[in-house]
Amino acid sequence: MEHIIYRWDLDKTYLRTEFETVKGLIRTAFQSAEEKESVPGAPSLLKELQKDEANSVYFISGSPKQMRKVLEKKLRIDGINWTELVLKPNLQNLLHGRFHALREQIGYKLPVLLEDRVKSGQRNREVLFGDDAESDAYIYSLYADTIAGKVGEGTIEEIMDLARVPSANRKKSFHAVGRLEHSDAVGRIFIYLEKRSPPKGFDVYGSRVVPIYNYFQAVLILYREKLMGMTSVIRVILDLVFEHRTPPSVFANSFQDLLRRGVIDMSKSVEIIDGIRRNLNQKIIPLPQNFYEDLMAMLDALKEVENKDVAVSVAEPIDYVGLYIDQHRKLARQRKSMFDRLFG
Amino acid sequence: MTVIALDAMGGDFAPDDVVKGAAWISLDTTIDVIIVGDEKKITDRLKELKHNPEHLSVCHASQSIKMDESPKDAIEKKPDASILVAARLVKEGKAEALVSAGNTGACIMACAKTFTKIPGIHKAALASVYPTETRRGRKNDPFSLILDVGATINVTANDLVTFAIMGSSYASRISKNPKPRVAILSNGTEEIKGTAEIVDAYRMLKDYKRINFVGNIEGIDIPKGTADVVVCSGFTGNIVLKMLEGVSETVMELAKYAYKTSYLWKLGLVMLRGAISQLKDITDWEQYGGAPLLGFESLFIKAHGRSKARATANAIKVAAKAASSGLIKDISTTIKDFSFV
Repeated sequence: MEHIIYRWDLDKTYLRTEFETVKGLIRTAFQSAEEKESVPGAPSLLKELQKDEANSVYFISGSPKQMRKVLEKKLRIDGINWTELVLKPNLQNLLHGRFHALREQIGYKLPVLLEDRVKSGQRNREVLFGDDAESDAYIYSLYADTIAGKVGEGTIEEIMDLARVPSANRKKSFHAVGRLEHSDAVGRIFIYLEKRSPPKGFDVYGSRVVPIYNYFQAVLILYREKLMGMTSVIRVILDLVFEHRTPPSVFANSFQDLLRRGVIDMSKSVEIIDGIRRNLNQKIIPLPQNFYEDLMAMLDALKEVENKDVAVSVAEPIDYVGLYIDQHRKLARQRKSMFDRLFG
Repeated sequence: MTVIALDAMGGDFAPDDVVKGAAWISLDTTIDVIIVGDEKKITDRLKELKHNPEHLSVCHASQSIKMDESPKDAIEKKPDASILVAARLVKEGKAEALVSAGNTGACIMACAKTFTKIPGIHKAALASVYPTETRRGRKNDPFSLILDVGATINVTANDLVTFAIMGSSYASRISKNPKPRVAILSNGTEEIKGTAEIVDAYRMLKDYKRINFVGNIEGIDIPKGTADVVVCSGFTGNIVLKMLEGVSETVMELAKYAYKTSYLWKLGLVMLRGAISQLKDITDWEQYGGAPLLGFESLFIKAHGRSKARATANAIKVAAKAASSGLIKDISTTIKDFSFV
């Protein structure tokens, strides 16, 4: 297996965080590490990815630096190791009067990602994990295409103008861009649909971006792409069964969703189902009553699904500037409605 | 966890609004829905909607029956029609109830072709709720149940008796009315009034203590809510139901007319807007969910042909409630007990 860099967002991707309400915001800020909850399956998936010691995990979060202690403790409780945990310098932003930067993500995440790419060795492939709360799909795609040399400095500059990115962060970005070795290093961008956003909204980014509804779906895709073995797939399934009481129907329905969306092709799915059948049956841990039989019956039924062809590449060049303008308008509307909900 | 088979291709707004209703259900409840129909159309629609696929699956059906098709011909010529595929899922135990907003005749025929009748029941009955001035049961429910409203045109006395038993079970299990008052619709309240079937059914029901039979009622008693369950033939029931819908629509039209005609009336209507809004809520068929087809060992909820997402979602909720309530078992036990009497 190759050595891969896994980059994860934290809030809403790894951690269950609620900042849509004042109550949720306050709770998030004052929660202890023990009180923080992970998204089901995320810790077990990460632990499996780390089994290959050459792989590395980077976290990049929009949480303020002041939360480092709590977040690191939470990751240690979950048994996660990490190479780097980058947090947002929000206190500095506040003290320098950069109020716009408090919630702006491109000017924060893109330079960090690019700098890190240059620093951490440019031959590694990368797999990225984000969510649908803000603009992870956009930032990660922009990052991937910048590495691939498909996005030039002019476009980045235009985007940074629109996002009103402070000059220090611009310098960092361009400095990193100048030192990049171009390659299609980012194989897959997983977007965890915490808000259950319609998947169609992500079509614009091509098939590299895969919206997922749970981490079982991520595991299936990682297995398909040979980034994970069947034993790891089984371990994540067992974690979801025993820690989160996930019933067989959720696994079968999630699998069917990937088949129908054409993310996994039928021939591969037959191989996955047979792998699950063999490996889950050999487990020493007793499964809940009828779980194995029910799951296998449901998975076998998936072989009748009318599977579409699997698209593998980004068909069209992405218009990042146009997308930024559209997304910015949409986000402004969402923020207004959130503000109205909170205080209206 | 309850599993509902949903015919995605039936109804005036299918499949878009039907799929949307299922998407809402997947976000708000733990009900599992199998959406039956054109897999590509359903998947494309789901991709546009907020939904949780953990509670949704799609079962492909290559054919569908249009609202204006002849039910008999369509059921015979289209073995892979979505309504038939969905009914088979229920029959095979893969789902616990079926929901469709499609062609009523085709739905009933699909159920008749696929489902097994409860022993002792010869004819199925389609039941519908309607608002009355009386409140009843634990939920202070303003709705009475009327059956049959169109599944069985000609009925025997035995059929009316089985309708009474099924209606009583449904009202007690679903509307949480522990002792629903059951009546036969006739042209007079006396025991001897009505057709021969009605008179015979009256005689058979009057001494049976497991249901609260209150005798005959007349048309005037229907909106008053004198009975919680009204039993009649499908022919009569269909006319009554359409008339009730027509009266409700006419009242609203008259109110609109009055609003435009005179400033004084306009002022009066403005002052009455709270009451009018309540009346609109009560007569809003979208919130009822749908009409159950009773008499089979499997459950079918018929949603209104004009159902949009909200009505579809409510029909799924009613189906799930009926499936988990032990309704079929209750009907079977009572019918067996009655046969013994």
